[in-house]
Amino acid sequence: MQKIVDNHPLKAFNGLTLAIENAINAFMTSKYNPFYYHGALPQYYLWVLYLSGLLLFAYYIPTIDNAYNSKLLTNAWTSVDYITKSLPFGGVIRGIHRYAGDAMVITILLHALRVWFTDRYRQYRWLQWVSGIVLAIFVLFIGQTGFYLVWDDRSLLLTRMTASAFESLPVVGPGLKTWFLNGDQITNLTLSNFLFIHIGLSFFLLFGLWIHYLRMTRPVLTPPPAVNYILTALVLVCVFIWPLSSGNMADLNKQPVSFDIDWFFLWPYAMLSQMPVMGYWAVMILGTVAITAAPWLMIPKQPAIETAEVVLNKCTGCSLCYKDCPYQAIEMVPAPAGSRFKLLATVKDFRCSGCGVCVGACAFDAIDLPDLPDAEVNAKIKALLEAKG
Amino acid sequence: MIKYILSPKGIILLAFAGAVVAVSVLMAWSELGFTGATPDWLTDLTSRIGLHGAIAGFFNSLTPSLGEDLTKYLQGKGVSVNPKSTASLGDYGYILFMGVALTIGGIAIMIIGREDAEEKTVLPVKK
Repeated sequence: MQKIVDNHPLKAFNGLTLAIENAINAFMTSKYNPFYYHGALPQYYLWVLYLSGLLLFAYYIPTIDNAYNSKLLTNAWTSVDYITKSLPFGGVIRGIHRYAGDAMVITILLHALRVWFTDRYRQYRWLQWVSGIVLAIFVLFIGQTGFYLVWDDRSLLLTRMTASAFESLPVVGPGLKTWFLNGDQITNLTLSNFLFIHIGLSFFLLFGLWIHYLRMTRPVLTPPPAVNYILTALVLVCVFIWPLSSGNMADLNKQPVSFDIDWFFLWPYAMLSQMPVMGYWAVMILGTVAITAAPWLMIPKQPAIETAEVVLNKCTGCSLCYKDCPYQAIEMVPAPAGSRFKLLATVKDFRCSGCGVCVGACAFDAIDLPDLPDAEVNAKIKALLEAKG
Repeated sequence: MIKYILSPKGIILLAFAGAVVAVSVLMAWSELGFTGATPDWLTDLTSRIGLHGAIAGFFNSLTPSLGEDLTKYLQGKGVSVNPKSTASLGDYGYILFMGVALTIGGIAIMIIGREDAEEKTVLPVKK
């Protein structure tokens, strides 16, 4: 069970999180408790999104050609309409793609709250926190481009709102607008750009995930099959309960004034419609900076971490501590000249959490926590066992 | 093996397995568009083993009740399909029953794997 420092401001939330997890363990056991796979849950939905998106991509046509507003023309809207109504299982696959995206946002939020409440977002985990924020922003933007691609009334309004919001930014604004629209106005090239962003950034997520997993020795990447079945079932049932449909085909000569909000991806647009555009950017940028800086802003006063120390004359270079360290805080370096062994373990202080896993891994008593020697821990355990009888 | 099957746990697991098979059959019924009108190859195959009447009869018996309810619900939610295409409302029924089957299967696996998940602390015995 995760311990948290006494003076941490989120101690109450930590207790609540652990209480919920323990309650779930009572009937699901720890092996199938989804909270223990909180990082793997969004990733599972990412694979669902890749697969369903591939099937949609095969039939999607990224053009806006609707000069006569005819449904007989081939464009983005009619291709989505064809997928939804005419392609066997097309509507279902589109629904899976949409609701898997929503589920990914929910699981990302749960993942972020869990690591925040259990105090695993700072110090030696700062890289995971910051890369996670960047990944979440990407997921949000990728999801929004998915709404543009449908090319109905809502897509047109969202596109115009985004272009207008970009344009209002000083210095970089006009350039951002041109990049976003792939020109000075909405054309076929705009839809091509949206499709490129939607798919290109999705694959960029894999690179982001690689950074997210750095300094983690054994990240849990996949939930057990039984949990995957339930995760899939949740999406499938949502597709049945709330089947998808599109709005009217976008007409560049008209200006839609309202649209249905998807609160998982489109909440920034709800904000944008309620406040001045510069105020919107101020809230979004300052909010993002504040959340990103949380690991440094919320560090309570606590004693310095006791990092592990290698006992040089005992280390055999066997690499057991290196393999077991959850934070990749141990590096195997060539042993000094004259040593009987080839390698020597060294501790990177800035990554060490002082958890003691390496002490347990070492078979030669060659690594210790300075203020909590292995011999002292063994003596305490022995005393406890003897007291218990 | 027989002893395990006849144990309370074995009986529960058999019930779950039966439920998954039953719901999976409903997936096929959905794919047929909530009817018992099977394609020619399936009609021929099931006729050869003498089960066509039973299977088509079972599917047809569900059509006026469950089939109509599902159709009404989906149409009420705005689902429309191109009558000239092979896409149908049954696509949505298919994934509903698939979702139910996956849920039952997931719960069954959790029950089977429960014992493996329980941590057992074994203290060394002094000799």
